[in-house]
Amino acid sequence: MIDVRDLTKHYAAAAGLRSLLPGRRGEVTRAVEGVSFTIGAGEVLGLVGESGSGKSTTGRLLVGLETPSSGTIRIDGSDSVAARARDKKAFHRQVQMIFQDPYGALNPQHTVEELVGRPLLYQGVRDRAKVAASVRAVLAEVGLNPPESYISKHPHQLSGGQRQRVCIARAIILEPRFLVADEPVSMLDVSIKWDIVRLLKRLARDRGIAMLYITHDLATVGAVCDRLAIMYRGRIVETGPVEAVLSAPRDAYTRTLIAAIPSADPDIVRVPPPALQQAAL
Amino acid sequence: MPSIILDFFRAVWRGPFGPTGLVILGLCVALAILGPAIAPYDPVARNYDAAGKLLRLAPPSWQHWLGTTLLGRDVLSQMLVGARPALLVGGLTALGTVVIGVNIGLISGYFGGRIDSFLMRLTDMFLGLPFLPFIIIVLSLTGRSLTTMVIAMTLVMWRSTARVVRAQVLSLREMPFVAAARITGASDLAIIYREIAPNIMPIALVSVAFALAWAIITEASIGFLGFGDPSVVSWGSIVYDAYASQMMYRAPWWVVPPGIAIMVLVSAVYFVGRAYEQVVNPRLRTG
Amino acid sequence: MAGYLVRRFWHMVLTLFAMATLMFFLFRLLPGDPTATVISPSLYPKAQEAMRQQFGLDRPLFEQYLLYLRNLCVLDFGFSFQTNRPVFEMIQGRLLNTILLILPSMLAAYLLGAVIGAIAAWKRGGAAEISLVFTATALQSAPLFWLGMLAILLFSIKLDLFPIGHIVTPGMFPEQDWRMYLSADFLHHLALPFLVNTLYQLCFPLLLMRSTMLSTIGEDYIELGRMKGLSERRVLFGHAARNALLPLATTLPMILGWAVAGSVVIETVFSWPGLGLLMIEAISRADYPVAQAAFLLIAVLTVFGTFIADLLYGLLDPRIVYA
Repeated sequence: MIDVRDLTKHYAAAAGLRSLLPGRRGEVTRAVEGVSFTIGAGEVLGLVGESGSGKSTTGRLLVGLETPSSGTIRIDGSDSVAARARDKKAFHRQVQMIFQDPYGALNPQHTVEELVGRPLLYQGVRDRAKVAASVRAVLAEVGLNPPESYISKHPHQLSGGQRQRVCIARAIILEPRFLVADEPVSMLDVSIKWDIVRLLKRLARDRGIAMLYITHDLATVGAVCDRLAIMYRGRIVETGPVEAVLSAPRDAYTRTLIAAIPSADPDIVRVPPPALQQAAL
Repeated sequence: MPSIILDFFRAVWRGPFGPTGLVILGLCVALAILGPAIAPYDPVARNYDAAGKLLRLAPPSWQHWLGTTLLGRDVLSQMLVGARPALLVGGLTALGTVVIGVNIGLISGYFGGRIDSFLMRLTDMFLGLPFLPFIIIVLSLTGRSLTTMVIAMTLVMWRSTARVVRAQVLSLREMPFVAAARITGASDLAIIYREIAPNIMPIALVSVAFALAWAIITEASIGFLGFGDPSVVSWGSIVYDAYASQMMYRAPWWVVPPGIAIMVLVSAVYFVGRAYEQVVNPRLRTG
Repeated sequence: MAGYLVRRFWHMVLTLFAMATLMFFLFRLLPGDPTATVISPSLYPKAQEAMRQQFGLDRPLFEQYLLYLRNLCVLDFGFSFQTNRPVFEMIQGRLLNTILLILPSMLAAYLLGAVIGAIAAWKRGGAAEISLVFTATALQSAPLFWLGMLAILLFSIKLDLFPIGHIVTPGMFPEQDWRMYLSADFLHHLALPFLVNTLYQLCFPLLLMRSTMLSTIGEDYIELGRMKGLSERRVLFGHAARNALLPLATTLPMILGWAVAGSVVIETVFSWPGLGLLMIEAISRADYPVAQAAFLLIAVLTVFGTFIADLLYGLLDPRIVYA
């Protein structure tokens, strides 16, 4: 269970000498401003916004790659910033991230086995047999079957979809309670997007993971998200169940986003049909 | 680590130049190891003819394929033995350069901030130092031996490798896979040596190949100027002896072979280095 | 631009300062009697004592250091052990000789190297290009001293075209007569070392120019040039060459460093009375004040040359000025 309250992140705009110039002092970039939401176990919250809306920063704050300027993040009741300060390794077992660029997120020098096994290594697990078994199990779970045919490959030998599956495998091998997926399919071909999205949804449900699905593209949210939060310029402007938000948006910005979704037949109102939602699960 | 070595050989073994360079390099390494054993004469022993007369400046003959020096020493034997200091000093310097340069480049590039500024200022300040004169001054003050030569040369050479490595680390540390490692609990040290280092090794090796070439020439130059280890016969010292004798122009067989040997060895290193560089830096691929 | 100039100048000053400091500590703190590198052991004990006082060698190290720096700034390099004359006297003429040899040959090497490298890129794939690359690599791999000796062997001894070293025919001009620089005899003596150094130093810019142009040729804006209908030659020299100039300019400081360092070698081979030869001679004689001064001056030349090269670089590429 994730509970985020008034999360805020400000960056000082000018660094170095320039910040001493009159008029420039105190200038900040309000990347994330008073963001609040909750995500239950097995639930997927979609965080939607355009570039610069602060959605990626929110993701990074939740994962511990950035520290909040103010506000709280509670994972299963305990404050995550304090937890991270106390025991970094234990904290990182709880929350993991799937990055946008499946190629950049995988070290080109490592094999799939090394890549997926790394988190266990960094957590201090030394039992080689145990690591190997976990790697194979998790590879099978993300659909890379049989695992043996993938473990010796390097990232450049895999397709985009396969690479992202490796990233997902790596993200879940530590059995996190919370997963941040930062635009996981935006760099993939359309034909692959649905497979990955379906995989994420299934993992969240089967493992009881609370998932934050960050995207700028409303076209995929219907298939994976239970609820939506629309973000604009660092603030959340609308939240609600996904069908409600998509069919009856209250905020003007949300309406703009929905209208921007490309449609095969512009006359048809843009709501993912129930049939498609069913098929996605 | 072993995969990097394999990749290296696979990369170099293409085109006409790479394999040629590797073969020549291999031969020279063999020579460095076996030189003293296969030399027909003791390189510093004086040779006499049947009548007991000293064979001064004898032109090449069946007994002495490359003739003799002013003191009657067999040039071929000196040549065979001279491979060892060239490769020993060159190889150790290259090794030292890699170890120091890579580590400093990694640490400086990864941590940035004050450590980086300080290290880079230090590097920049001494980058303007003229290498050869500086090494000679150091050798004249600390004494002339192969050890001091290697140390002085390494001290001067590590900087270029460090800068090259640091430049790559600066861009690598922003990559998502570094962030991914961080959020699984990896320490900074683990990230530097397990995630980033394998990615900079190729470019570091290229830098080292060129360092090796430079080291071999410099070792020869130091020998030629008379600042080499007096107890060691090296290709540079052969030329020094010839030059100092003032008789060099009468005995081309004495002067020409060492230069050719150095030229062949260093060319081989350049060939290997360039072949590897072509693969490592795709922008350089020609045609 | 002014900011960049100031920054580079300040950087140069810092470098020189660091180098002088390094020299100070090297010479004073190495094992053995530290005063041996300053006071000639051949002087009488009373004279040694007097010099000790003058150079402040009985004072704490830090004071000695400041004194040393002050002396350097007024170009007081001490006295030669061998001649007991001020070091500065011996240095002046030598400095000019080194500059007269190294500077023109570096400029020629860079110009020729760039041009030939461009031509090699133009004629890529042909026998001409391959033999050029091969020759340049081989030349670059040969030791400079050996090339010099071969040149003397061939051109001075066998063919008798050039003199065997030195700057002028011995005895032709009285010592330090500046008129010797204007004589044909001087040029005759300059020719061979100049040619050898130029030939050797042009290999690097040649290969660099060629490889940079070849990699540039594959890039998109070159394709654009071709599509615009420009001739192959125009594309090559107008576009590719101009952009290849940048890495050449960047590496010029490094090459200058090598060149000045190489002056030690080439001056020895040709008995050219420059700073490099002076340093070698001084070290052999354990004449430390002269050796130190010669080295510092070589270093100053290198650093100053680098500074000028950086200025030119700043003119060529407006991007780095604002970095």
